[in-house]
Amino acid sequence: MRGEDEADGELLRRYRDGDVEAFRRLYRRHAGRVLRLGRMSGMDQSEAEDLVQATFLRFHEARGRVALDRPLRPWLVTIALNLVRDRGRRSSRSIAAVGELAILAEARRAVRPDEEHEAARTAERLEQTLRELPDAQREAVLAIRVGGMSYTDAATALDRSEAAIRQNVHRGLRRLAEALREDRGADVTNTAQRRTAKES
Amino acid sequence: MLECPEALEAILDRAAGGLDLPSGRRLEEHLAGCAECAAMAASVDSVSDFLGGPTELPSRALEERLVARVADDLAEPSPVATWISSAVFGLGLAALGVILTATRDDAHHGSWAQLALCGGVLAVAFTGAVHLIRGAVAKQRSTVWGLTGLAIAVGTVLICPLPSEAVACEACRSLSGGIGLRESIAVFTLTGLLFGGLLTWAMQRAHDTGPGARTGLAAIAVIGAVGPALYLTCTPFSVGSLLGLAAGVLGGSLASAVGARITGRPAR
Repeated sequence: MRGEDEADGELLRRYRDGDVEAFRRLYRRHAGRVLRLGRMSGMDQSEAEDLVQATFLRFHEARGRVALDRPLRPWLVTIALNLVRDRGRRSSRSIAAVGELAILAEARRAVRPDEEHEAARTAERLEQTLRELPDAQREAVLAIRVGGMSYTDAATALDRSEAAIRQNVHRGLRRLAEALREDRGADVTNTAQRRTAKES
Repeated sequence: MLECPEALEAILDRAAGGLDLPSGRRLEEHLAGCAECAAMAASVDSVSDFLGGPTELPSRALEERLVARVADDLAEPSPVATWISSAVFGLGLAALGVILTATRDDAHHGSWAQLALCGGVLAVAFTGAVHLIRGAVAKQRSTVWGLTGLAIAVGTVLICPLPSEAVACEACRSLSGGIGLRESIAVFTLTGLLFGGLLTWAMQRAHDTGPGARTGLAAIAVIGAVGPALYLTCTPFSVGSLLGLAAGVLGGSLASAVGARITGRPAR
């Protein structure tokens, strides 16, 4: 029986033999991760879907060269990371455009209930901090935490040593955690100020 | 007992999925007695959860578009259309060989019976080969393609009538000037080697075939380039090109496959 946990290698073998449903299952298994990687790289939904499409078309073209005995996800994430890097080289987003995005995000927050408002603001703060990380740290964090790669796979994908990847991930995660704590500190202060204002 | 700086490293390793069980237990002991590190651990875990959070699939329209594209590529070519196109191709090639030979006015070629046999074998071989290759391309069975091409190349060389003595065509004689037969063969071998290497490089750049497929294409190219020359009985060109082209592409494909195995990266 072909269960949900059918190995990537078996699906890939059937896909190479012409079974398009096997491709569909591989797509459904991994496309969400690639989409999230795009979103976490600062892309909007449409751009992230373009990334998914480009990644899977590359996969389709190279299906004969992908190893059957290894997990597919690191391979796809490597392709996606390279595409993100190429896109960054071609068109780095201008400061003005980032400013416009911030205004749009603020407008969206204004119509949300309080709890959604806080969660959305935290997410936006983390996404912004992620975008502001040095390239090496951002790529390492994306590969390990968003792409789900091992240090070994990430080192191969990003052409760096495992020690360098580990150091970059540590620095990146630490910076993101500090940003989160600053954000929560600001929340605590704001809440205390609101309470004081109500009481008075 | 961990100190705070070590605990921070362990917190970050845990978030990245790289902390072993004993280290994890030591970290928990530290966090139980250190409020500052516990707060940092909570923040790092929140960040980690956010980054690795639930994924949602892209739009259904994108999925259907991609699946349709893939289905189109994977579709088997029509057997009738394949047979007709490959038969026409094979017969055309055989006719070319016969015409080239018939127009020669010297005696350095095989008999008409040999030529007819060779043309027929070539036609059948190419009909089958093109059919196999088209199926192989659709399914990326590059090894099948490679072995088929090689078998045809070897079979053609064995079956076709070779010149009864070593001769050079008019063009080769005028080009090589005073150099001897062996030197002429060496020149064409080097030229073939260069061409074979360039062919392999171009196909690697195109990203569309594996080492087996490249070998197969090279073998077909060898037949295309050398077959007519064999009929024309130009020994330097036919022998040199055959050796050089085959060595160039086979060597390039082998190097690519070995390189891919050593580096663990897909052959490109």
